[in-house]
Amino acid sequence: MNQGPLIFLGALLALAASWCGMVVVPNVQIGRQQQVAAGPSNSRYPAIPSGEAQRGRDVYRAQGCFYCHTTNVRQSGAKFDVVLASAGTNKAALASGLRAARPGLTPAEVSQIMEQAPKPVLQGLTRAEAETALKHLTVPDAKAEIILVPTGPDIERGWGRRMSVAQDYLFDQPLMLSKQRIGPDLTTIAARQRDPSWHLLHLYNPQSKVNGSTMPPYRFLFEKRKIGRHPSPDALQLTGEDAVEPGYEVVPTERARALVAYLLSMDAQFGLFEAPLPVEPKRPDATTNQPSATAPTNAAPTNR
Amino acid sequence: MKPDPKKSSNAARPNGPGAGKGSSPNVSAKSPANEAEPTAGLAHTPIWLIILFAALFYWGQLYLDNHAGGFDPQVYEPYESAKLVKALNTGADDLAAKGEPLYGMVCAACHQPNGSGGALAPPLAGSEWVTAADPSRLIRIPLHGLSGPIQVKGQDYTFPSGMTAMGEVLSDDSLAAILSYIRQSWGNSAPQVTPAQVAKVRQDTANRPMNGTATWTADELLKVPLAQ
Ligand code: HEC
Ligand code: HEC
Repeated sequence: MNQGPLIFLGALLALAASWCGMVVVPNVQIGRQQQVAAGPSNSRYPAIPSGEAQRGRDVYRAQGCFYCHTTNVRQSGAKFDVVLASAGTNKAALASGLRAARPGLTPAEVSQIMEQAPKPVLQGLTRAEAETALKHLTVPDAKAEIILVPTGPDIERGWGRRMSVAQDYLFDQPLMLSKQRIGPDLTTIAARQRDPSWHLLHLYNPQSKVNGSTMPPYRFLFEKRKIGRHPSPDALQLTGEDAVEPGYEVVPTERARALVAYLLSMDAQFGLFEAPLPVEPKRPDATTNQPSATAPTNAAPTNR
Repeated sequence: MKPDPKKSSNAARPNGPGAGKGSSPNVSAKSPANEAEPTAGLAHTPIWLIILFAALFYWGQLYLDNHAGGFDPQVYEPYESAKLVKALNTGADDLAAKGEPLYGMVCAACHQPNGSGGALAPPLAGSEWVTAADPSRLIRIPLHGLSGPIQVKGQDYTFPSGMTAMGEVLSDDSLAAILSYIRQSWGNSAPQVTPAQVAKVRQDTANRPMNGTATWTADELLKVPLAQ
């Protein structure tokens, strides 16, 4: 071993380089991330989870929910729609602009688009194509916009509207991204399923809510007990084969309630600077000043 | 001298499974005690290896150039560059959206949430003061306040208390957001007011106090030249 120092130096250099690349640089880049203003009301995002939700995360971890559920939405690309936000008064110029942007439009379709604004004119374009189309629609008084549409299999499954980014996990300690998807991704489960009693019944017996579900039941998170003087208000409404004998009721334990509070806090679907979402086109002539509908409106299908 | 069994087994090691092909098969047979400890020598790195590494390094650089997003923490796949991400955030510099909550806090008490005005202030919805293409008069109103008779949408108003000056408490950004909001709400559709425009007016009126002692009057404002 007369080359010992050389080998030592080589190994040190290799380890130091990868440590710098994988620990130091990312830490410099995103180690100091903070809450940002996001969402329709520009509130702080991500919200600091409530104490109950934090205990729920511990239950989630202890029960190994992450063996079957990921919390990471992937996005493979983005498409662009051109939307006519408002037609304005310059109808003739706009009509010819519309025909230039989308050759082959019949006059009836043109007037339909102009009447029903805000209405998409073209969909699924690349950014360059969308910009060319937008130029045709730049008519004084009318308003057209390019709308970003994130795409990717996870987004098509309705698991989220955009990719997950580091900001989404600011308070997740430990991180349970997971890598196996036996069940659906839960990043935006709170938006898909807001009803706490649905979650409790689903945890008690998944098959009672989803036919043929292969998710295991978590009955031990519930307590079956004799009804006291009054039935408990949070007893499960069990029907069919789950029904318990009269005089008894099934109530969620502290752990089940915390777990559901955690599930209902999983709501990562607001646009962020690094993962933008389309802002619904706002009519400039809108007479109300309702916050524009950026609220979660995607009727998300699950993988059933 | 009889070979020490321990040493001989040591010396035999180069013949083991890991031994180099070049070593003589019967090292142990030679007198191992006299033989020096085997050492590793230095050899020149073959030129093809250097070229291979250079090529790999170059490819790595190209890959990072194309996929690392300039090492910007705000750039994630599938977006390529900070410039693109910025361009996609059209909604983010939507000043009017930012101004909406501010308007509710600062102005709505007098001008009403729907901009209709009332007993305390004239309307903003449809007001030509609000929607003028050049906002330099409009910006002056909240900066230094406004009092005296005023005509809005052809109607004469007189409010004894006038409008307070808010230039000291509102930043350029907030004021730009509020004014953009009132210019683009309730049927108004005028271009947004940028923070730079507010800063410019502040500069032009630097010697006018913003503490409510030097409020504008409508007549005075009408003398402020507008860009065409
Ligand atoms: C053996 C794998 C497995 C484990 C472990 C598991 N799940 Fe599931 N989960 C599934 C499958 C499969 C589905 C889809 C069918 C269904 O909705 O029941 C599902 C669905 C769900 C849904 C509904 C998702 C939707 O989009 O409607 C929720 C919520 C959920 N699981 C929560 C949990 C929680 C909380 C845990 C831990 C206590 C957990 N799961 C553990 C497999 C699993
Ligand atoms: C204390 C009540 C009050 C508040 C708060 C207030 N205003 Fe006013 N505003 C008035 C009054 C009163 C007038 C009429 C001034 C006059 O008498 O000449 C006025 C006039 C105006 C005008 C010109 C007339 C018109 O209707 O177009 C504008 C523009 C305006 N205000 C904008 C704002 C903005 C923007 C804010 C918030 C930053 C604001 N005001 C907050 C009371 C108020």
